[in-house]
Amino acid sequence: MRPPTPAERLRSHVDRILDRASVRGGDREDLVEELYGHLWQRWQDGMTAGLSTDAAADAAISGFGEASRLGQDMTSAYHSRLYASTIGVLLPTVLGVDDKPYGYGRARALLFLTGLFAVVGGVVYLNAQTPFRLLVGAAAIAMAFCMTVLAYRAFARGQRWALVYVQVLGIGFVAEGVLEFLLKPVTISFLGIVSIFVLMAAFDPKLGSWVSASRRTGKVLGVVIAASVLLYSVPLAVVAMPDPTQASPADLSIMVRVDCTQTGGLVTSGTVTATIRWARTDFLPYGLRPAMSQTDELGASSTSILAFDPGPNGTPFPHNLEGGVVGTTFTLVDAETRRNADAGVTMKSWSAFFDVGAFYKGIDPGTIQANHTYVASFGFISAHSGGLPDDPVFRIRYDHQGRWGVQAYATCTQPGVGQPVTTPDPPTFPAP
Amino acid sequence: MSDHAGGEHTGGEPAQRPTGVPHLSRGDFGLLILGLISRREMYGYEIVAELRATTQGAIDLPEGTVYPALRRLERDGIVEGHWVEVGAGAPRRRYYRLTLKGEHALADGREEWRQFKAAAESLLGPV
Repeated sequence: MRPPTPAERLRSHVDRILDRASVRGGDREDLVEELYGHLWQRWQDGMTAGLSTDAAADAAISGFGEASRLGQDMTSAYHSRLYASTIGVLLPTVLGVDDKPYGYGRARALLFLTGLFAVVGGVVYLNAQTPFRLLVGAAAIAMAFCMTVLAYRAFARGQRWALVYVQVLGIGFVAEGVLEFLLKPVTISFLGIVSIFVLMAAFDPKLGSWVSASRRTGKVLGVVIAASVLLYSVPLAVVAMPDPTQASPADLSIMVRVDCTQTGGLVTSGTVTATIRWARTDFLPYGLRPAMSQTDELGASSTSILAFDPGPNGTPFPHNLEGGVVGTTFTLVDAETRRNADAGVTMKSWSAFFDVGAFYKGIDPGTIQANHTYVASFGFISAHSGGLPDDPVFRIRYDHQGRWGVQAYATCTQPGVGQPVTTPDPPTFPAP
Repeated sequence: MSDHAGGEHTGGEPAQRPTGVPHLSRGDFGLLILGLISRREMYGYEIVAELRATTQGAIDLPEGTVYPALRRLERDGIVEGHWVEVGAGAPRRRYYRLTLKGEHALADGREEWRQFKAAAESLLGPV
């Protein structure tokens, strides 16, 4: 592709000015001729003064003034101040320009997609967050989104900081995509892929020349740009933030007792009883979403789990429900009301058997009441013909929506007290 | 004109401030243009060159700034423009001249500056 002639460069500068102005069709034609005539004469005078054709064209363009400022000033010369400061600025951005450089569309597409994903993804994701995390995450996304919108508009006006923003954003998405792929090889970041194509153009000299007339990006603005891009990662980190509106392990006490029946020195049956009490419960435990429904599947991340774990000696609990003989009783009762929480009066919960031998109950934290005592009991009969060891260890663990947990170990002779544990639940046993 | 820093026909701050002339407003700039083209019809490039030469470089604007100012003056009926063919190969030039309203605006502007100068001299001494 041949480089533009000096006359074409002069004409291009006129177009850049008027693309940034809101001027009626007939006036535009007059202005094109008048502004081009000025640049043309300055170019001619420069050559007469001894400059080369290119240097004279450069001098004419640089002496004429910054395209975006002149465009805005021209808009205000034709319209009211209100129009000039709002619609007159927005309109050229929306309509776009004809002489877009290589990469212009890609860069703006990345900005558009970033804004779109921020709104849609933010609403979907933050909807499920607890109140404090929602506020922090939403504030971060809102600020980052505003910066993206400003960059989208500024880039159309050829402002350098917007190109720097695109570059930083693209690098950030690629880095995030690579990290995500390394952690989960089945996940490919859409914005990461898009960013690769954008970055191929974002460092191209053609885009550099698009913004060359605007001011250089200083250190302060550079820091602001980097910080605004990092704001998009806040929602990912917000899950780990402590939320003062939510209960913590310190608010939950679990006491466990095991009553055993022994035959011939071996435990053949018994009951594990956990007494559970919350001093404080979550405010909006599922964020703005409705509470967990009965159709939710066990193991959903938003579900709290109460688990009864068998001892270390093989598989003590029978799994054959169809036999209907052993190990099938489980109750969860509100001790104050004496109502069976397991029936859904005060709690929604259900049970399931797994081959690992543990017994799980899904609990809806939204239905738990503070300062009520709940009693969960699990009756068991050993599947071993000879019975269990004389003092089998049981673990009772409460896992609060995957955020934190409290667990207790107990035997026939030793009751247990719940202790805070980290999540996710390590599948390890035996008892400490 | 409302005050020395901004005439009612052009008021407000200039988009790009001339070098060496702090606080020159759009109104002042418009008045300077009127002063120039009151001498004879001029086109944009000529106005910029004349402004630079007459003020010995004290007012050295980005050259394109003159066109929004001319459009404001024309919009307000203070100047009127017309095209003049120059010759083969050269673009046409748009010359500007004062209207009757423009002559009144210039006279008002001169008077305001005279008053302002007198007020300033009463405080600062002859300037």
